[in-house]
Amino acid sequence: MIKTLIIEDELAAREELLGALRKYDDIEVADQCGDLFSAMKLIRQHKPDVIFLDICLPGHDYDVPTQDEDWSELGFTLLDYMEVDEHQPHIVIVSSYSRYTLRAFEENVLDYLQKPVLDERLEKTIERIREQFTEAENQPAPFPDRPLERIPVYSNNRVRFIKLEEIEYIESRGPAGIYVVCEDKEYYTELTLKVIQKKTTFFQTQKQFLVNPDAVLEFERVPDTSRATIYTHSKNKVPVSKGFKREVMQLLGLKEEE
Amino acid sequence: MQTNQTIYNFKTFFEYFYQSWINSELIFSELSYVCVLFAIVYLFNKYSPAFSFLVKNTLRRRDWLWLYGLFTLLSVLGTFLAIKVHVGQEANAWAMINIRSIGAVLAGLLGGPMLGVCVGFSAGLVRYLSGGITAEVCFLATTLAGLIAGVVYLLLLKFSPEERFSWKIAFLTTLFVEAVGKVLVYWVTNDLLLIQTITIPMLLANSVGVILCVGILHDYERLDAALSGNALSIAKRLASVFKKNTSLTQSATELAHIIKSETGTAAVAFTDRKKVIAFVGAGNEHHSPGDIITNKLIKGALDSDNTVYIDGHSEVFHCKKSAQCPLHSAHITFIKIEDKVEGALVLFESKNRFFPRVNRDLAENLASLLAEQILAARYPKKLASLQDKYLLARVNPHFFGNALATISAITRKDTKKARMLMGVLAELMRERVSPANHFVTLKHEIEFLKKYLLIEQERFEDRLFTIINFDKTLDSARMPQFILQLIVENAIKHGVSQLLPPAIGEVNVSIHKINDQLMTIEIKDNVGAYHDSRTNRSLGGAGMKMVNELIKSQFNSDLYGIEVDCKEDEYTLVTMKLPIVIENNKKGEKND
Repeated sequence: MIKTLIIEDELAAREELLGALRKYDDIEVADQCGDLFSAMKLIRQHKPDVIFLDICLPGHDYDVPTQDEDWSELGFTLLDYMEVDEHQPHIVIVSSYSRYTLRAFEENVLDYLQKPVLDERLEKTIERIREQFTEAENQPAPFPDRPLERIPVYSNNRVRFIKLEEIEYIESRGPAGIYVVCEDKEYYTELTLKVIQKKTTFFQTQKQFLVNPDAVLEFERVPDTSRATIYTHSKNKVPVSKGFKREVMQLLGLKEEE
Repeated sequence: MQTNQTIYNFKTFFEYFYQSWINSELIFSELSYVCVLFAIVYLFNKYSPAFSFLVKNTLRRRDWLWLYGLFTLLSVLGTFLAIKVHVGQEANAWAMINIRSIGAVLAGLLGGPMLGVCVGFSAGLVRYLSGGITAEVCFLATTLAGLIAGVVYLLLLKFSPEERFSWKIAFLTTLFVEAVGKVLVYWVTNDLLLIQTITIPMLLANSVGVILCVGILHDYERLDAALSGNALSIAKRLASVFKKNTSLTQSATELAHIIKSETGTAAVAFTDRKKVIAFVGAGNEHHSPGDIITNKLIKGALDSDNTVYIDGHSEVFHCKKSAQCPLHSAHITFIKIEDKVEGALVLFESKNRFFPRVNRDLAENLASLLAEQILAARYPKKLASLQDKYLLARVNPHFFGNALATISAITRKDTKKARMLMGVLAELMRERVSPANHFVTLKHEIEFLKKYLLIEQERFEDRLFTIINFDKTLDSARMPQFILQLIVENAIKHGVSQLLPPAIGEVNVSIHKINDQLMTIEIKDNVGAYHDSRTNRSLGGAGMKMVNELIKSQFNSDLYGIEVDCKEDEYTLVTMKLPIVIENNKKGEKND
């Protein structure tokens, strides 16, 4: 059984794809969603083999000037945040336009379907998918490891990209989710600590905390404990646990006084 | 010995030439046959458009066939319109002086080697079928004639295209062709006497024919140049008037003077819808600016927007003001600005003169030129590029592509709805690709907006919520077409589409009066994505700027225009201020 996800913001297009995939017995559509963050969540949750991804997801990346400002290419952003080493699905891009084919090729996607998707064309895609899964057991799709420069966050019902230098620290608040804390505001993100740590210079001070080294103002030991606290430029406090203290001190270039 | 022989040969040669020359009736008879061909070419030129390729420089297949037909006909006629001539003293030694070459040479010279060879071949074939010793060789000679002339055509094309209609070229080509022909005939018959007898008459007749025919066509070039020269000189003089910033009456009078001097017509007048603005020429003692237009025919025409020609024959221009008015016929061309008749250009002619056709054509061109100038003068901004941008904005291919994809998806589950939406889309497309109407009523624009929203609603489902409320008294107010829909489209494209579910995007359209002269259109969305403070970028900023320029230019005032107020992540409010212009139903205006 090949597990898939549909990531498409237009309901009608989603249903069309769903209907078209229904006739393939070996293809299972585990879930569907229509935006970047839900996509990240669902991929983590279901670990699909293939995702059908629409490039034009809601949101606009102001940092990247697009051809005519008509739509942004947020679908590609998703690929930037794929967790390397973790499960990586094959990508089938589904788009109204053909202009992303070159980029798609560079990203090593499995196939590129142009909307409206015709049954005969989808047939070919399914063949390709099947091929991937008969050759070798779940070959991971080769995703280039890219350094993170911005983190996509939720802000007022929209996607916003926060530059790393604006971030002081990242905190995982359990079921509430992961929060990106900046000088004046904090934002919710679907990106995991693991990915952020891997792709940035942020260091861990505690199980739930990642700190931006450039945001560190002060390092202070908590008296009578083996813990410490880091103060950021905007006076936020980040705890440093016993387990990480040594590493943190090393990173900050502080000498151990024992 | 050799030299003496040569001189003797030359002398006898010349004697025989002289002999044949004094058989002058031969020459004149043949020349009269040449006139037949000339007449045919003249008539063809007059009544068939086939020769227009000489001006246009593109030869259509149909024209090619006509020309082939014509030239082959000429060439064949040239064989039959021949004169028998006796060679030497023998009774039954004779030859035919013919003018077959004319058709073939003309074909090649004017239409290129292909046409030349085809015509030469066909006419040569006819000659071949007519028999005689020289049958085959004349076949060959005629084909070669077409080919040679075609080669000359190519050479001219490469080295000196202006010489195309030069009589010298025509003559030299014919000379060469005839020489070749005679050489071939000699080669077969070995009859020097024959050659001597027929060469000069044939050369003369054929070259005269080619030169005359080429001469008819030469006029094309001259005529074209003359007309364009005239038009250009007028245009230049007119342009200099427009550059000066004088009053309308003054400019109009100056223009009228220029037109009168260039066309040579008796009088020229400019009017607006009600009165005369300028009057120059005969009859200006009693016709002057400010006169209300009383002439019924002109008045009637202004009201019905038709061009009127009072030809002085079936209808006569009756001047109500003076019995001595010399004006007899009049040609009225309307000056239409933005599909509305604003005034007229009237050319008058007096009793004893014809109204030249060329002046009438000129009047029409002038009227459209003037209309454009007035339009340009009204809107100081570069109107051409603005109109281009406006036109570009009208047709948004992305919208149609997306709409079709959406409808295609709906087809699977709800064919009835899909068909309804297809109908709506068809209506939208028809509107957007129809010729620019520029101004429509508010009611019309709102109907268009609603149709557009029907389709967008389908795409966004419950992620989009729209409200439209407007002042009913503004139903017939005029506004630039498509602008309302464009701004709403922007709000959806750049605002609502960015919202992550389950958030709902809201677009609020509100139209109301500020006072009796001013109305405002507000489009507000609840997203506030127009401007991003971090990157300092505005989405669709260029489009807004263009619309602002357009409005300011159309109404020539800074009171009107478009403003965008954006509170990031809260709302984007686009406010459009327009004058309230309510028009009655007129032909050419979109009204529901």
